Amino acid sequence: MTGSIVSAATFTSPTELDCDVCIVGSGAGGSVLAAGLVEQGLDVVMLEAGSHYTRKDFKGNQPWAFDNMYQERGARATEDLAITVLQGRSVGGSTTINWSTCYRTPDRIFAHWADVHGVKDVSPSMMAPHFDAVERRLNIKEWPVDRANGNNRVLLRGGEKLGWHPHALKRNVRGCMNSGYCGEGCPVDAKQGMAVSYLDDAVRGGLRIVCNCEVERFEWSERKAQAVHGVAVDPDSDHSLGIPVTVRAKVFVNSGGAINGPALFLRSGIEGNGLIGKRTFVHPVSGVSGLYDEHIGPWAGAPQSIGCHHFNDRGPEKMGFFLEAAPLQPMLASTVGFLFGGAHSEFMRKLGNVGVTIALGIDGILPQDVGGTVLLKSDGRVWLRYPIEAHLTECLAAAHKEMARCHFAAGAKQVATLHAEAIVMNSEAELSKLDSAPYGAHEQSLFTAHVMGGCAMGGEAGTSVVNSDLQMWDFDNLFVVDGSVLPTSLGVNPSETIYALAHRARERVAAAV
Amino acid sequence: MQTTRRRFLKYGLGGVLLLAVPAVGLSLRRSVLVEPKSALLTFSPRQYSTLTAMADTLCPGGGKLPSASDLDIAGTLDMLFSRMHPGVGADLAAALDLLENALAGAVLDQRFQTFTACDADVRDEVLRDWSTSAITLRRAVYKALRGFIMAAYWGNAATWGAIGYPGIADYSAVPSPPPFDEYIAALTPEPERGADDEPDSEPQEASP
Ligand SMILES: Cc1cc2nc3c(=O)[nH]c(=O)nc-3n(C[C@H](O)[C@H](O)[C@H](O)COP(=O)(O)OP(=O)(O)OC[C@H]3O[C@@H](n4cnc5c(N)ncnc54)[C@H](O)[C@@H]3O)c2cc1C
Repeated sequence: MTGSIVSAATFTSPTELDCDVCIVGSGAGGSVLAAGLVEQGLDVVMLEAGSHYTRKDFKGNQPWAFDNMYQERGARATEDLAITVLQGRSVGGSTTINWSTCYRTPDRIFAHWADVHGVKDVSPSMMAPHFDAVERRLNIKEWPVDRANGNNRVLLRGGEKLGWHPHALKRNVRGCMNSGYCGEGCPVDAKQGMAVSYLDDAVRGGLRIVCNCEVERFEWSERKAQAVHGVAVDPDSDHSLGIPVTVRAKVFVNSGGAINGPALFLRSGIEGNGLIGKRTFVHPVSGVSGLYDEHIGPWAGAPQSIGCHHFNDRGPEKMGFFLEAAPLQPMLASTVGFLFGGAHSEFMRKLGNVGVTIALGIDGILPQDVGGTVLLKSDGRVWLRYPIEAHLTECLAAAHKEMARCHFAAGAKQVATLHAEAIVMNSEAELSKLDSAPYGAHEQSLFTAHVMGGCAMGGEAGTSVVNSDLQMWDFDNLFVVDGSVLPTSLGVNPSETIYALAHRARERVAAAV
Repeated sequence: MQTTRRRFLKYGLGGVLLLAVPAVGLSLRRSVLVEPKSALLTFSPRQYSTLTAMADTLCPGGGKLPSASDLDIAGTLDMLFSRMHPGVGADLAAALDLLENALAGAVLDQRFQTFTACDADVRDEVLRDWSTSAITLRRAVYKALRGFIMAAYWGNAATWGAIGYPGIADYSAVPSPPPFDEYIAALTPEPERGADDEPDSEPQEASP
């Protein structure tokens, strides 16, 4: 039986569907799960708020991509606007526009989850078969160093000189042309995002996807979810078309991803002991740019191919961070920092010779680090409140120093921060200029593409939202399968962890039908 | 001209407000309006004009670069916000009203005109003050408006040539990789080959 991908915008009257399992959200978690469920013969319906795009729509055009495939058209930010939040919104979720970097969950994170959060049966050895399976299906393999772009080579060169052991990372690609357009949707279907991999399998096995359908709430009573209620949205404006879509199922899965997934529960009056939306983590990202004599071309080539985990563990009192590169097409490059006018045009004119290193803070590990909270505004908007606390500013200060040091080691002739008043250094001797630099909200650019948590998995109902099988503690037939179940951030890019957890959840969700 | 931050630190909020007392009435000062290039969907003509003035200050053009108003960046954003949650457009409209307001400008920026009536140097100084203001909220508003304007301006292909960005390559003629089943079948282990020996080599990138 072949399934379908239908836009709710084509519905002309209220639509009701019945199935075994209804999944909200078509991203990393929902897609791997859906494929596993149809493989087991279940009738599955998936609802996705965004549109369905294919390679013929993907032309490497960043403005188009942000406008059509990112949450809030790329303008999502934390409540105080201090952190720009990038998340996907189309069939395939964030995997359609992510940068294809893949890592298994570090062993120390699994150990931390077990020790501190009481997570059961999610150990490296128990997860290994799931990692193996998704790595095979998504062709997750190390990206050869000789194909790294200039921006990543900067990190490699600097990191090696400083003895930080930078390494080639893995990517989920097959036939990659090194176009550098991962964030705009892969123009050659090389990136094994969900739309061309697990969802493709699932639709061929019978999955019915309804896109342009924004789910507004779960209908539930006692310990049972009974239906989801959504509405058709206009693909162009995202505004409601007023046509209701209702799905009744035996089992429901929230795979809306961090922020939106918890927000859906909050809209439905599901509060999970007041823990829904709490402990949301973002790997807060800061960046430092280096100006080189050589051409770097930070807009071309695989966005990320080198990683450096030298600073992941900075001791028990400190927040760790890891280093990567970020792709810089003109649009995204122009938005970072605070410069304007002639000084900014000058920066943009030199963009071809600029390398940017990013540091991603590993939040949620320190006992006092509870991350952010998802909130519903009275006008229906969703907000993430993410306070920038002392442990993060300390981490930012340390990370800036190391990123600047790395650029100089890699041969940069000038290094600049993305502060409100940029700190410019012309040699390593000037690193001390960073000693008095301010760190905090709106002191420097911060962003995230890794939103995690908000429906934390754990060992007890009082301290977590879902159990280790990803089932809501208070429900018999409601699961969460996406990045929101992560009890902490990871210290590596999150997609492979989510794929593997979803792969593991296939048996558990099927058993609940 | 003193920057907002310096001024704020010197007098504190109370002092700054006292300095503003003679300025009451400034809020009625005239805006200098520019004609929208198409029907406005989000902003009032005054807000559109303020956005145009701000965009031209942030992205004045020069050399081979067009100015923001050459590209009607304010019009692009007016259209964008009409396709977002109405709260976003309302928030930004309020921010533009604050920037334009001569009274608020007198209190914190020592300028006694609406933003649109200021000459380019004063606008430049005002935005510099906003970007480094001691008041976090002003920095936040500046950063949000700046982000939208920069994205719309530098996302426009007309700006790319001047900065050496080669533009977007066309990959439409490149075939998709084979379906997964075929790919895996093609890897079926030959007698002397282990199952793990999947070829790692990727096709080399072409220059399209
Ligand atoms: C620009 C970018 C680059 C990234 N790069 C990498 C990388 O290189 N490596 C990596 O590991 N990770 C990367 N990530 C992060 C990674 O892609 C995500 O962590 C992962 O996809 C999250 O999976 P998920 O299932 O939780 O949610 P998503 O993949 O975000 O999917 C959630 C989906 O649910 C839909 N949805 C939400 N609410 C509703 C609702 N109410 N009704 C209907 N539909 C709804 C959304 O529209 C979305 O499509 C990147 C992310 C971004 C944005």
